[in-house]
Amino acid sequence: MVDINLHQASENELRVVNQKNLFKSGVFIVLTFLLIILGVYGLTVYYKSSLLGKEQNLIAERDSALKSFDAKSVNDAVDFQYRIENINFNLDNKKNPEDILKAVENYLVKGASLESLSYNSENDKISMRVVADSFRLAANQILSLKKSELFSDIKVVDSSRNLEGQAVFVLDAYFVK
Amino acid sequence: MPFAVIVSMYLIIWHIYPTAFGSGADSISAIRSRIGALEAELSTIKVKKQNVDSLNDFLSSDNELKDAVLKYYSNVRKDEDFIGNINNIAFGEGVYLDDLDIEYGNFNNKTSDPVKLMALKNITAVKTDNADSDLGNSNSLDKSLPNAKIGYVAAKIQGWGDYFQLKNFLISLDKVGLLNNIQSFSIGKDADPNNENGGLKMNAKIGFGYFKSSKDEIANLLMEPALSLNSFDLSEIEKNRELITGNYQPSEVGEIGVTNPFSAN
Repeated sequence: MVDINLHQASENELRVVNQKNLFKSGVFIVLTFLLIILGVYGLTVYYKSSLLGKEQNLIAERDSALKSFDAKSVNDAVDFQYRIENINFNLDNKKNPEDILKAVENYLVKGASLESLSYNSENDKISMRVVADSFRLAANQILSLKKSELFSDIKVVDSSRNLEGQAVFVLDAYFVK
Repeated sequence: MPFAVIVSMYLIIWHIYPTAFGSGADSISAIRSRIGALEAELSTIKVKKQNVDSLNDFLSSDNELKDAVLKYYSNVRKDEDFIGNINNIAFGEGVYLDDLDIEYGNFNNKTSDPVKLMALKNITAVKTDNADSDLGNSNSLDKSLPNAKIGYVAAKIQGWGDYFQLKNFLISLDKVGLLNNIQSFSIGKDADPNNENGGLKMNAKIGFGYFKSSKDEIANLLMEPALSLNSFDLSEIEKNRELITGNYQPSEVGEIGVTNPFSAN
């Protein structure tokens, strides 16, 4: 009987024990975790919806900015720039007839003369029908054009003698690109 | 308790993780990326709008070089100017013209080359990234055939003169002050013994260019390099001012109105 503990726990002591059990219980932990998850979920949904709202506002602002352009003004500006670029391109790339005729004048051999001369921009070539006293001059003429370095290729298209016995030859000369 | 665990896991696996860390279209990172792209696009559009305003201020101002450009590479076909100036030059150089035919042409991307025929650049269709925009229209004729915007009139001429007259005629024609390209010419002795014109016979074909104004949709134009400029670079035009102005003479109507249309008045 001496070892029997007859002490009875007070109500307060019992409440503390119960509270300690509640905080340590699995239910409490799980519910707390669930609350945190719900909180995070709520924040995610809120943040996403605010981003979607911002995206919609930006789309509306972009469409409104696009509509603020006057189509005619834009076309006029684009066309004018195209014109400037093409005028420069045209002046840089078109073949000046003075240069073509100068090339013929400068590289026609003495003793030869032209019966006809033609130029075509599509293949950028000249055709010359040359009359000379001999075919030796035809060879000289080909060499003269080759040495000018103005032409990438020179072809003899035809050669014959006319009624006066002169050598007549047709040359095609392609300008260097 | 199991219910709370299941709900938590469900929210984490199916909602929170894909939204916060996923890569799908609805994820936060994807939305933020779209927002970044939209902000950049909006910023570009605003800059381009300012550029267009600035370029149009210039186009509506009084400027000699601007007028020279618009005259030299006109946006209307000026047959009367082509014929009138050819005639003036021939008269001035002493060349007798006995034939002048006109051909009307334009380019598409399949059959002819503007570079070879008119010394004009091919027009490149500008890729637009707004094809899905409700403002976009990817079916316009000009977009599928951009070179159709380049028009030209080819004048086929036959005339007579001595070598120097014909040479000067061709040189002057090249500097007529209207965008042109001498597509072909031939000068030769006439084989016809009955020819009374004398001298050398010349045949020439000269193309005069004009530009068909664009009527493209805004969405198709936004990627045009011109909209990245806030002013036009006219330095090359300034250098070639003399060539561009040339010996051009505008056409005039003269007196009009007759009583008998079949009688020379």
